Amino acid sequence: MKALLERKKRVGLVMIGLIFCALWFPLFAAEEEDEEEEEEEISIPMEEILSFEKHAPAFMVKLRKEEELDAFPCMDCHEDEEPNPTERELEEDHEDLVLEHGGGRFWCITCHHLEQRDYLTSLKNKRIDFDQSYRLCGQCHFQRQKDWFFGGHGKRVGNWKGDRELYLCTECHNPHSPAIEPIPPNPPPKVRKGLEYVPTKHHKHVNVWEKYLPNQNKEEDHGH
Amino acid sequence: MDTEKTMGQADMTSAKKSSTGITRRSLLKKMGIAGATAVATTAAGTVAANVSGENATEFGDAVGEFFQDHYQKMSKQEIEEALARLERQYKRKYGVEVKVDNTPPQPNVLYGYALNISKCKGYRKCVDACVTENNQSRDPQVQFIRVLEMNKGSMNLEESDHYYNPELVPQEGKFYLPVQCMQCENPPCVNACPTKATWKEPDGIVAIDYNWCIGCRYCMTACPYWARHFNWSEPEIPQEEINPVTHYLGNRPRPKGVVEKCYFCVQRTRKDQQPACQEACPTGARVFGNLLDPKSEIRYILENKTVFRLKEDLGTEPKFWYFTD
Ligand code: HEC
Ligand code: HEC
Ligand code: HEC
Ligand code: HEC
Repeated sequence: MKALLERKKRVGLVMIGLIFCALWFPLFAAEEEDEEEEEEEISIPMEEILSFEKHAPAFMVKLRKEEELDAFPCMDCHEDEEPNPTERELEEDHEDLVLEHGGGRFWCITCHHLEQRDYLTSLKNKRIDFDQSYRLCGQCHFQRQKDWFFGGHGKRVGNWKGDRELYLCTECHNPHSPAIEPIPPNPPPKVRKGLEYVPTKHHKHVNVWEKYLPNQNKEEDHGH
Repeated sequence: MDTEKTMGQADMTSAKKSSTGITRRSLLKKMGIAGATAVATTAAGTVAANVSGENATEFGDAVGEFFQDHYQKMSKQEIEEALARLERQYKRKYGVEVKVDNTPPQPNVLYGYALNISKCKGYRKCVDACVTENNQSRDPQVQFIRVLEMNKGSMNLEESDHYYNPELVPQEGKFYLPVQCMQCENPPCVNACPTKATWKEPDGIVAIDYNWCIGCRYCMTACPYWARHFNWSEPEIPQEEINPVTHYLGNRPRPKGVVEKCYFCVQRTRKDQQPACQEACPTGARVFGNLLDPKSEIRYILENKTVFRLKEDLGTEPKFWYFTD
């Protein structure tokens, strides 16, 4: 609301400015330039002003649609399919796809463009490229997206300096079931020869994970 | 020995100065090998000159190695000779063409690391990537990274377990805390070393000259983070698993009887690459970068997240932070 008022005020100012300029053009030429710049800024859509994309350090993404998506281009099939927005059990294709995201709150076309199947869609029905899927996710996961832009979520690939390449959200999250599932860990370290593992519950408030086996050389120190 | 509280460049000079105080050689003398050392010292120049270059023999290299000066005191040429000698020795020992380089620190760079403990799932992918990248001994095992399994809601390290091995991670009620060398700004290990074999580089990396370490392990006792590891026996690495791209202060194969630890993958990071553990982490929990660059990811974390360091009260000033989402 405040922003809207602010905007009205500024538009008003611009108009006054324009009237003045028309009357004394040579005198106010400099001011006119300033006002024009301001007007341009106002015309930027609110979503983009809110977006941190422009303020974050420049980045590129590791592309996915051509390299990683088996079903892309979607239009290979969907050219001939009548788009069907109804929520239903899919049988002819995509039958393995499990949609857990949001706990049943959305259907495919919340994210996929109904007619132009090679694109994702924003909630306001604007096309989003598959290789810019972070723009889709960011509509609902604003804070994560902000962190992602600046390096607090997701991952920078390759180097810490120079060109900044990021993983897309979908490199780590399956967009249809985005929770990250538990996996087996890599094997634990081996206890060094001559030592024995001490289970945590027996630590008794001293910092040990291992103890010496009986009759071992006591000179060696703990745990390294 | 004077304690070193200054940072970066200043530290280099102070280390140089103090290394004229106690050196490995004077220490050896005190330990009673004075005779041998004295004789050999006079011979050093001539012998070393005779053995360098293409025709270097195993014996010649051994002599050259014995008389090699401290890393920070060597001239450019002496360092080059040392690197070439090491490459020959690795070739003989492992049958592999190992390249030992000496990439200098980058100007205006101070490395820092931040780890998101709400993302770390305890997979140990970083541990294994680190072992491979850094030519760590497979048997006996040496690992720079220790992933502690912790009870949720507690920061009690005494109740941690790094031998955890459930079927799946993360386990209910647990979180995971990887610990490695934190490249302290005020490193107690450096102060503990009687031979100045370990020091802080201008980019913040706490380096070890394995050729200068006498294996006394004082540094290991001094380190509050269990970050330093001793090679009790000859490190073993299968020939085909040797990483031939190495740095003198980093992942070049180590001999028996010296201490080693994480050095933020100096062989990679000084060439702009991410450390191997960052590269291996599938969750993006690890954020590495230049603390002096206000646009870096690491600075974003430090300025926008609630961060903490381990055992902060000790005043070690680690350059390794932990944070949560
Ligand atoms: C091999 C052919 C094929 C490809 C390639 C394909 N689809 Fe489909 N898709 C189908 C068929 C057939 C249906 C109808 C399934 C049903 O009704 O049981 C369908 C249904 C859908 C639906 C449900 C809405 C609708 O219009 O029926 C969505 C959403 C969808 N596909 C998205 C995609 C996307 C996104 C891609 C590309 C990444 C893609 N598809 C690629 C064959 C394909
Ligand atoms: C929350 C948003 C969202 C919803 C809901 C959604 N998708 Fe997707 N879908 C995506 C995104 C994003 C990708 C691109 C994935 C990537 O980059 O790996 C994708 C990829 C696909 C692909 C290509 C997968 C591949 O590996 O080739 C198909 C097919 C698909 N979706 C079908 C569907 C169908 C059918 C539905 C409904 C049952 C659906 N999607 C619901 C966001 C969504
Ligand atoms: C239309 C809004 C919307 C969009 C678009 C959207 N999400 Fe979600 N997401 C949700 C909601 C709602 C939840 C469920 C939150 C809850 O249950 O508390 C959720 C949950 C999640 C979770 C947590 C899952 C879990 O169970 O732990 C992840 C991860 C996630 N989304 C990632 C993504 C990614 C990646 C994208 C882009 C491909 C995306 N989301 C796009 C609304 C959205
Ligand atoms: C490098 C891998 C990676 C990338 C890239 C990534 N995430 Fe995540 N994300 C994770 C991990 C790991 C978690 C923690 C999951 C957990 O705690 O179970 C997470 C958690 C989340 C959650 C919260 C889930 C919860 O349970 O609270 C959301 C939402 C989310 N991510 C959205 C995104 C969005 C949006 C993007 C892109 C802008 C993205 N992620 C990119 C790895 C990633």
